[in-house]
Amino acid sequence: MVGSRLWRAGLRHQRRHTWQAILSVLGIALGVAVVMAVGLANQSASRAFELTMEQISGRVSHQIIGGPGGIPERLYTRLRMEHPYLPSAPVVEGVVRIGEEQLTLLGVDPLAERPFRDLTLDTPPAVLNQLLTRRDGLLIPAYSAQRLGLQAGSRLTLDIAGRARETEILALFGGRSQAALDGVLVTDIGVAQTLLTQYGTLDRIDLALDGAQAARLRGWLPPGVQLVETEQRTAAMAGMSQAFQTNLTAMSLLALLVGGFLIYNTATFSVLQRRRQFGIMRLLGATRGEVFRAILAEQMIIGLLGTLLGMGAGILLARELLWLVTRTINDLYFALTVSRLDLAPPILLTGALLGLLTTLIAASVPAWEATRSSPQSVNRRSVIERRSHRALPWLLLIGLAGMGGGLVLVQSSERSLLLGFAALFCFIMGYCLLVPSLVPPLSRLLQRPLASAFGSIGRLASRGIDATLSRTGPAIAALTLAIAATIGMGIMVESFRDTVGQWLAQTVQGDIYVSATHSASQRASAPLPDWLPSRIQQLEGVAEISSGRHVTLESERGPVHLLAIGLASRSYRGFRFKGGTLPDLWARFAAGDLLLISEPYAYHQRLQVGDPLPLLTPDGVVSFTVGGIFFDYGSDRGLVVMPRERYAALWHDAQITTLGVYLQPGQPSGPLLTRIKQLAGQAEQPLRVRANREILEQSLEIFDRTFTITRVLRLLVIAVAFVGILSAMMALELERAREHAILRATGLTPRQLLGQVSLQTLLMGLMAALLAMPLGWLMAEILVHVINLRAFGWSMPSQLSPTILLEATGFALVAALLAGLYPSLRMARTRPALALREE
Amino acid sequence: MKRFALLLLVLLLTACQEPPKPGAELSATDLLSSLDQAGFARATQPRDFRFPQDHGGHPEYRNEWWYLTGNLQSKDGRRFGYQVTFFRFGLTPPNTIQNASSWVGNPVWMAHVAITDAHGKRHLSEERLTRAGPGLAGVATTPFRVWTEDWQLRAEGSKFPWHLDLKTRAFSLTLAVEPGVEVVLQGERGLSRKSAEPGNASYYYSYPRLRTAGTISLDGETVAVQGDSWLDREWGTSALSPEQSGWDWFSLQLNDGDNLMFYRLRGRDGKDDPHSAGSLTGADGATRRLDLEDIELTPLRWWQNPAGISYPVEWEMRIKSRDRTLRIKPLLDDQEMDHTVRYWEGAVEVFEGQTPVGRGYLELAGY
Amino acid sequence: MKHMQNKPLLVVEQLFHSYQEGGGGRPILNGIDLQVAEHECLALLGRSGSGKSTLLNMLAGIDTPQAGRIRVLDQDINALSERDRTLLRRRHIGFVYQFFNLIPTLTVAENVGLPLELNGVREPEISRLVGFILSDVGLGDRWNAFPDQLSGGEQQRIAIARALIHNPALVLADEPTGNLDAETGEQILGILIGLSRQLKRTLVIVTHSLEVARRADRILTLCDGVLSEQGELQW
Repeated sequence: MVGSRLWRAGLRHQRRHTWQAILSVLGIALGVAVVMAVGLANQSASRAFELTMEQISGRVSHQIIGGPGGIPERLYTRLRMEHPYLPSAPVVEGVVRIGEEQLTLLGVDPLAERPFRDLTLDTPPAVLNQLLTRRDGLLIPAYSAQRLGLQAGSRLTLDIAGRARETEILALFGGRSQAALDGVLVTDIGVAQTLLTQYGTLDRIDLALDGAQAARLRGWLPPGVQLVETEQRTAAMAGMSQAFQTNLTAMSLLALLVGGFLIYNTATFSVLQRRRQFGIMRLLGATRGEVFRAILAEQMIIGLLGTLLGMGAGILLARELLWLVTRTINDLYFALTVSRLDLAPPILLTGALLGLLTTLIAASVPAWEATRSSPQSVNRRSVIERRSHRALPWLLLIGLAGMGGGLVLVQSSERSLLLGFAALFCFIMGYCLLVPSLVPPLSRLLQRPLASAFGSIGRLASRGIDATLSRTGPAIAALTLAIAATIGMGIMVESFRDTVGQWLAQTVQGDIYVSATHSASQRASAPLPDWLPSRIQQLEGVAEISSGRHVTLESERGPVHLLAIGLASRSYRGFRFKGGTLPDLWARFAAGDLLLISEPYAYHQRLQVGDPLPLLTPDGVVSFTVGGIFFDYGSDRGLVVMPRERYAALWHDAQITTLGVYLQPGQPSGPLLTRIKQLAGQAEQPLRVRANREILEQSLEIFDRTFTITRVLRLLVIAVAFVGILSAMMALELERAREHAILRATGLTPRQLLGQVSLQTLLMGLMAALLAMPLGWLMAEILVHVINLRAFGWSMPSQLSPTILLEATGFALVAALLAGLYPSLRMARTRPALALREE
Repeated sequence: MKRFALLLLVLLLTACQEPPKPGAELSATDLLSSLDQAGFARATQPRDFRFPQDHGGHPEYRNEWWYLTGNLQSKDGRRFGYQVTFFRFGLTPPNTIQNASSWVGNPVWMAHVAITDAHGKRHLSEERLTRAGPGLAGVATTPFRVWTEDWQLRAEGSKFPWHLDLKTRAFSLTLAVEPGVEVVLQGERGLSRKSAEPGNASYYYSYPRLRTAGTISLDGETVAVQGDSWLDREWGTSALSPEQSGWDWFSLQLNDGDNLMFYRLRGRDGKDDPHSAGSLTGADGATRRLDLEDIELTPLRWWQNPAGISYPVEWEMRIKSRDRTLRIKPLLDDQEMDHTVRYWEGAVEVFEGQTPVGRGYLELAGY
Repeated sequence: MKHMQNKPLLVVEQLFHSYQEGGGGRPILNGIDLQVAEHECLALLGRSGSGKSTLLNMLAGIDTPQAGRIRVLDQDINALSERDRTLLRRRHIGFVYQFFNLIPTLTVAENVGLPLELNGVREPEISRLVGFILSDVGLGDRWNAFPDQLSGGEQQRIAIARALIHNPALVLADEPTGNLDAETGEQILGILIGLSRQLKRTLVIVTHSLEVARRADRILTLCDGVLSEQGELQW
């Protein structure tokens, strides 16, 4: 029963105040765009991973996997001979690069593939023949071929562990639009072994078994290999990047929250501007419900426009974000190729619903407020302000309750990341509700200094804020939220970066480091030539060297990264332990029965010093004890450290993948760097030789790259906030038209008026900044000590950097000033008489 | 309205008829038939055969097989036929690819095992198809062993007896074979020409009568059996010439001690190819070569498989020189081998008039 | 007594009200008794601050008195729920205010038709009735103008049209000429009272001007919270 006249009045009002409407639309649009973009990017990445796994391992129920050395081929032979009726297929898998892109090379036996994959089944026989007889033939998915501009017959150079290998594309497989297989190169198993120089071993044996068969097979397997369920393993892999993706989603929701605040803001203004009209309508007999619905409907149209705009913008933004997300996952977790955005309807729908829901919630409060405008207030202005002041104690109470609730959530949610985010939101909402109650005391506090500095203009400015609290309150709250968000995220990133920098400086004790470039194997890093360590040791100026071997072990819980380390005397200083360690740590470590584990590993696996940690060796399971937990910000998956001799003995692998060179005191590193580079140049594959400082710089570069997304989101939040402030200030100033006209009429020059207005807006900005600091700090604390810890397992000190606070204050003041500029300029130019006319 | 509904129904039904997806069997067949001949050695001249070395593999030739068939009976008179074949298909000539990977450049092995149970009126068979890879299949001479995954034919050392101990899903075979007569070199001193083209030939020897004893397990029951087997060994780089469509191959072990082998190559034009040939070996070991002048073959009865392909399963063979007419009847009509390659291989009874005069095996290929 | 000839439309008994803030207990309405007959034109005369607007608001059911009863069309309005009071207002009361109170984003015709729409009347009917009443107030040619394009007098005429279009039993006018010059004010008053009489509506005018009050059928003076018949006015 919403009368069309009520509608019309509302819509025309919006049209007359287009700026406000546009800003509202923009606010929601930005919020929805960010949520949509992150949602789509995350979804595309996850879905791509899922789909690829489905294609490659969809019918594989179990897999036999081994350690970093892989599985001996002969095991497969024995399996076929002794269990001829269990469907099994050998798989060799490696990582190759084409330019900057990382792809998977899958080596299979086409004759054994039928129960598992359709990748080679439709290959023409002539091609199959070539696949089996040539040393360099590959099959590439049609989708990837199209993307990379390749066809059947093209020559392709692959970068495999730094070596260039020529291959030829024999045929394409799959449909052109089938993005699921993007990034997977298929070849014969023999060719894969040749290209990856991995002879005599397989990466895994794929099987299709039922439960009973699996149980029997488990008993048959020799020590050193294990039978895992594919689903579990795939889920563990997907889970690796889960925390990262959850973080992104949460941050995007923050943007939407700020957008929602914007709507609340502008809707509040819009309603207040028309309180007289609503009074008249109520007077004429419009029920509360009718007024409520009319306002809500008009705001929902804005929300709808904003949502649609946001969806479009979000899709465009998603393409960019997808690239960033994929790159980060590749950098940190596993090889993933996603080139196509998956416009999943559920995500689009969710984004749209969120946009509309946010608008609904945000607009319903002012709409409800409007129904409270009793007809009598038509002629009385002060009622509104009195009422908003009366509401303050309630807001205070609810705000404090919200913050209290957040606290309780943090304490009681233990390890849950989602509840951690819920607690964060509770804190934020609670605090924002508190802001209006803090404004009056704050403005009274500032009155004195302002009055002494700027005279009566100053007094007017501060009193004015308090007097029009119903309008200034929400505006300041919105600005506070946005600034707090940037402070919070800024502090978190800064603390993190600082901690990483310090940690790097401490960990990288050696002067020069030598390592191989990208490995072709997903299980072990590429080995250095055997002759290199001794040759380097013999160089003049070299005091000693440390060595390391990085491998990935398999376990039921997923992959475990192991660093087998041969320590130099200075290397010990590189470890900083969290809490206590077992007594005689280093002696027992050297003896081989203790392991050191990194903090994230301890957190995720719930291990403490002294706990047992069994690992699977080629000869069976060996149990170790955790000797100490050290800080490690290099990865969130965790690291296990053991002495290299012990590793070599148990895993029959004496290779080295990194060398740390310690120079004699006083030796300049420059000449030795050159000598070592020369030595390294004699190796078959390209090696990286870097000085200590280079490593620090490059690591921080990767860190910055990883946090690019956070930075982008932060900018977007700032953009949303700025839009909000602008709209708030404009509405406020237009409201004040009459007041300003009076001031002008009583003799204030335009410049003086501008000064007064600017002062007031600056004051609002200042208040917002001051109020934002505690919230921002609180947000940072939660982000660092709750969110980061639960997501990644890292603990670190949160550092309150004054730069960030100053930056935020500066931004608040500038935003407020700019936002107040346009309307106040306009105001200053209008003739007082016009403004004095009653509307 | 009704017509529209009918149309819709028709559309829906036809949409459900998806063309069947080609299975892996198809691609393996095509793979095997597309194998290249280049680089392999060809059988052009007769050679010296040396045993036991030549029981082993000849990887320089593209194709090779170890073909064992036999007729057995249990103590209570139940008749069985069996076939065990190991085929080797070379993908590339050896030594053309030097590679450290155990999967590169090695041949594809296909093994077929079948039994015919006359009493139970059934023919059971299974296949193994694999690359040699890291020891999944292959042949060795000392000790003698030819295997494809879990199936193997072996000896202790390199001399007879040879042993079979095979399990399939439905049955298992444990047999030992011992030569009853000396090895027979087929064709021209072991060089068996298949067409006019030089090199389109194979080296071929047989053990036409091997005393066989062992057990067959079927349906949970193990039966002791004995009888005679026939071993064919062939290797070469040959294929049917374009004018040839297939062959019919007979191996007959007659009660009077004669062993007859004859293969008739069929031309596409329906006529017998002049390169059809065979041999007749007496109990004393004397071997006479046979050709189309000597043998006249007439198919008497055809059997159609469920897919509609007909095989001539019953024959009349006239040995002109001896003026004998033999009737060759299958133990069972359906002894078809339908795996990666499809052919008919079955145990037969040989009659002269109404009198049973021997047993043998019949192979029908190219139908 | 003319006013007793018709049924009482409005009955007020022992109305008490005082403002809570500021003065602390000084009553602005101190035992008001009032009866307004159907079709009567009543003027409530009082100084500014005498509480006449408050009284008017109470008659409309907008404000609630601290004590006393108000019956409109035989319904005790303070016993009604807020929603029912709204509906009563919608159906049976029309308003004319000093500051016109037109909705600035609606045209003249839309403003005038608003009460009809609220009462559920459908379109062609609304336009028809709007047409009639606009010509009655002499603004038949200004359908699509917006209020800010009209003079004060024209706006008040629109307000009067709006107040009468839905045939309310009661029309309440609060200083209808307060914002107009003397001449226009005269005109407006003429239209208001004339049209009300013509349409046989009950009209209550609140004013501080004796000249205005004299145009009514009956004058009641509000002074010190009490109503009296044409008493002495002190100003």
